[in-house]
Amino acid sequence: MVIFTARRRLQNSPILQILIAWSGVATVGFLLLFGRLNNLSVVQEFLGRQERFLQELTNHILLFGGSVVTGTLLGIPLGIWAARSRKAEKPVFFLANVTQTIPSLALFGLLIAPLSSLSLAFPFLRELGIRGVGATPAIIALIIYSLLPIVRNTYVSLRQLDPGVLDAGLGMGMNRLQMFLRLEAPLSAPLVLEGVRTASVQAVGNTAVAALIGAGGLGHFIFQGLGQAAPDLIILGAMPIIVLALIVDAVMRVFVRAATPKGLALESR
Amino acid sequence: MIRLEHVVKYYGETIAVDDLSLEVGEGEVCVLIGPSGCGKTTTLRMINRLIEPTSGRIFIDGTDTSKIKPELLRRSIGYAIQSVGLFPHMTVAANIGVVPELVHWDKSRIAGRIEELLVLVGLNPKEYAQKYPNQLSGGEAQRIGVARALAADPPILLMDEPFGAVDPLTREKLQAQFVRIQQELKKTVVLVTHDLDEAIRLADRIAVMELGKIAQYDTPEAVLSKPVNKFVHDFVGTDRALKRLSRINIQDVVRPAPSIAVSASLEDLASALEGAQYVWVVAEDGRLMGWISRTSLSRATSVKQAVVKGNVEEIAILNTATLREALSRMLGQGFNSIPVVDGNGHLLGEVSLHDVEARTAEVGA
Repeated sequence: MVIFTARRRLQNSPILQILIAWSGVATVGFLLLFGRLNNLSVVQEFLGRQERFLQELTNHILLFGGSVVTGTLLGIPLGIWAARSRKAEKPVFFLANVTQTIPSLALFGLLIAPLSSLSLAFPFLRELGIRGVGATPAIIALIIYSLLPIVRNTYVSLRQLDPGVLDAGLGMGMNRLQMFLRLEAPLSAPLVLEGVRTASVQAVGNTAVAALIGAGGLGHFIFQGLGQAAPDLIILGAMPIIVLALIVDAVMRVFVRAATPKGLALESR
Repeated sequence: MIRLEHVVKYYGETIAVDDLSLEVGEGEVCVLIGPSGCGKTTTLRMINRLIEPTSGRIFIDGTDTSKIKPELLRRSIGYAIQSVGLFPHMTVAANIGVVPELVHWDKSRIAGRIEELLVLVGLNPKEYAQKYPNQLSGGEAQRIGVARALAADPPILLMDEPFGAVDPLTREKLQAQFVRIQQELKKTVVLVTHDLDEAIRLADRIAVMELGKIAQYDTPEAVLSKPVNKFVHDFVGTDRALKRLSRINIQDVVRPAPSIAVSASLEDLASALEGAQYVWVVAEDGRLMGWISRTSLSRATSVKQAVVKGNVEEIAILNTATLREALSRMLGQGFNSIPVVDGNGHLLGEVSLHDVEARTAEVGA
């Protein structure tokens, strides 16, 4: 509570704000570092599986990171397409919305069947490591999930551009490329990145479910813990996911701020 | 010079511009005016090919514009619009520099030009160059919009209600400034407006449009005094005599006014008031301070004490204003005459109701 009110008062100082927000995490980190919490059972669990923990953490980061990067690379062009073409608008959003409403577990499951038959039919796919279970369906599902916020924000950011600005740009003799590079891209960048931020934070959480279909990641500990009725193991998986989500959120906020042109930042005052 | 030949524009089944022909001479200000939906903006936007005509041809200095690449054509034509459309992520300087940069001027030339233009539109370069559009008032933004349109020194300027989005007082200042700039630069201007007073004040020739056609294309005086049909007659309205006054600049009618320095003696004052009802009082530096009338003189012991002080902004009128504004000011305050000052508040002379009467009779004849 104290931290929250303090944050509100420090609206104008981003660095202090971040420091305060992270003070709690930092305290726990310090205590961990100096072995003060060694008696906690979670820590005991961690010390017992240090190697596996690091492996699954890396796995987790690779899964969500790879998916979000791919989702961004696909989502931005899709959003641009939807914003530019009346024909594309409806189908793009229909797909993005429908996939978003399928529960993640169901989507992972749904992908198993077609992918395993594909990998059976085409041996070279199997050699690439594409199978019905494991990382492939997980990454595909995670990409699909990350698409909606990115596509939606890209679309909105382009559609909400001041028509007067675009008319002026065109009337002054900018060609298509110059319009995009000088006006559309810089003016829509903050909102697009805001979509990538939403997608990233979501993906960190969704990746936990991926462990169920053998993709690994921190979800592994959660489901193992659930199976063995071992709460400490669940926490060993869940806590780092929360911390990871916070870190990703903070990093993306920095990106969003960096991408906001100075003239636009003034507007929010 | 701009020439439109039998230009037609259809939107689906609807006709927006109907076989329109028009010629705008070099250095002339042509104002397109008419009710909304009359096709004036469409006509303007066809000149720089933001809209392609369905048929007909448009020539600039004898060259068919459809033969020029649209981007290149537009870079050679200044463009200012009502919403201004300043780029919010760029500074004022960068906004003005857009077209010069598109046509590859070198950096120092662009920087020099930006400064020159800011001065031209009456904004201090030091103060404004590094500001962002969000930090500007509506009037300042409009000025930057005009400066940006002039940046690469295009011979032609297209303006779509460039002074539309500001309050009446600011608009009047911007119009006065436009008149001054145009006298200096002599651009060929096509300006769209729905404000008849603006058209009368700025135009060399007015094209009154109705349903995609030009109803009348003539000088403001002729449009006002000899409307060709009922539509134009109704459009210019019944207060035509009054509107004609908008064509007359104060600086063309201002006469020397009886004035006295505030440091003058009472004897000087008495002789100044001999045969006059009042006298304007100015400070040592020539700024208008107020006036002294015979009635306010009675018990005064010095000129300084006798002067009726007034807010100069309220009692006087700028030399850049029009006779119409002077008249409205005089009627509003119940005075027979009004002092004329320059931008620094220095007394230049006065204008009286007699001058207004004389000029209306003259124009009406």
